[in-house]
Amino acid sequence: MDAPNSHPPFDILLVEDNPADVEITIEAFRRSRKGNHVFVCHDGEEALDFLFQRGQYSKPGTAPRPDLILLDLNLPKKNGVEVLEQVKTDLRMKGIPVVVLTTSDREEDVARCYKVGANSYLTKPVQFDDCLKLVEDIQQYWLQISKLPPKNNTAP
Amino acid sequence: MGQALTSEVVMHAVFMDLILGVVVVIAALGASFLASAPVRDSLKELLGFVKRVDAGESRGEELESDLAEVNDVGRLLSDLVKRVEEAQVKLARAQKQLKATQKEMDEHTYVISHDLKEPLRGIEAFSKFLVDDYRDKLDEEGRHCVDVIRNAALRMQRLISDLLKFSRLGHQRNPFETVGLNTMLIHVRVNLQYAIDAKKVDLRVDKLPTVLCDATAMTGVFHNLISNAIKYNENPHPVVEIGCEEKENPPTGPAEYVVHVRDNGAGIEPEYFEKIFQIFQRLQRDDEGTGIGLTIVKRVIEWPGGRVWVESEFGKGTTFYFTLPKRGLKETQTATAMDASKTTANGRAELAPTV
Repeated sequence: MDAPNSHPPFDILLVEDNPADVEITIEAFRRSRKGNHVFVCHDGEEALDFLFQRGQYSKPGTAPRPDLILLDLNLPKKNGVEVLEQVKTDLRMKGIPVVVLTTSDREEDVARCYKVGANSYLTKPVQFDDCLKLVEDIQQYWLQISKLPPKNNTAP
Repeated sequence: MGQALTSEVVMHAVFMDLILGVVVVIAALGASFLASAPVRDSLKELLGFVKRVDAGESRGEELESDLAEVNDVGRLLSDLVKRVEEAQVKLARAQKQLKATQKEMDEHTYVISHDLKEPLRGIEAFSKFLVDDYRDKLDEEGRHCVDVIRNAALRMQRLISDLLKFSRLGHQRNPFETVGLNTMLIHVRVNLQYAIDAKKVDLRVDKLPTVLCDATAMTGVFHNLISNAIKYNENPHPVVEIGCEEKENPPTGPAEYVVHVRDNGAGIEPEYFEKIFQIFQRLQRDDEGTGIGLTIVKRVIEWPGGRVWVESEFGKGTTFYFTLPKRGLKETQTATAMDASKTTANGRAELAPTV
């Protein structure tokens, strides 16, 4: 009855260039004790390599198709919106929920992200306790409450 | 800043032109009075010419007077008109530039405040990790140091958030709408209920007008002024009173409302009357406030051309005044909006079942 990926651990791709933010987010995941796997890419190009299993991620098994993508906007090389655009225009990728997680709360950024297919837009809190709460909420909503598309479904 | 100077220079030039013109006219007229009948005719002609110029009907037209002096005055006048017009164009351009610069500055402030948040998140989180994971290894002094770091980070966070709020006022303006201030104050009161109850504040609101304003920003103005009046009020029976006076012909310009928020707190010394409106200026240390409230009030009120000021007798209380223009509000609109505000204020429960 359940889709094959409806149980943890889930694979989460975190796209974030700021080392402190990476550590903070990973620590929040660790403290939330859900046992999900978090993969980290540090710029937009690396994220696309990971998702399309090419470049340093071309070896099979190094980059599983994630169940959820957490995407920062301000990234080196290719920025978050460019990554989002490529994910949402690719038939195999577009089903993966993308949660934009960024410092910006500019209306233009919010509008642009939703326009190119973001599934959610969240702003990073400053206080760690709030970050922890946010990471718990993200996992609860996207991985427990929501029903995700089957992981190996490549059908358009 | 450069733009402000430019517009001052332009204004100065306009005034100098005007003064020069008036002097020339008076001198010419005085000289002409020495002559007789033809002078009167020429003067009439000159007057007609000036009137046409004044009504905007004439620009470079020549006078056909027999008196050379009158013709000269006429030419000077039309020249003067041209120069004033040029100066006006320059002034308008400078003002436009000033606005653009201000907008750009707000944009920069917004971006910078956002960028400042990023390292701050690191400081906050990692000092927390230090406390959480190394508590046993730190002695009391060490733990105190980390606490100080975290408190400083929190304070900086508040400053940055307020700066963001302030810059947002500059580049995200809401359209003006017709607002009944009494209705608005009902909401403000609800938001401040906790503080009002805690200090047993007697909040008195007179009958207030309906005005055309940015409702969100104006709510913030009242919220800031009333919460200040409560927060810094150590009177055992704190009273905050809000009222309004209508000025039909103020010396400052068109008709306006003068709204006041009065408290019976400790008062402010005159030397701080200006300073309290500056960004991040506070008269006493407190843990929550950053000192942006009155700066925001000033900005919201001054944007459409209003004024805000404070009057206070030290030890007796403080009154904040601000003006709201009466223009742009038709009488009929006033009536309907007033009725609407009455309905919402008193009769929401009665209305609800019929809907």
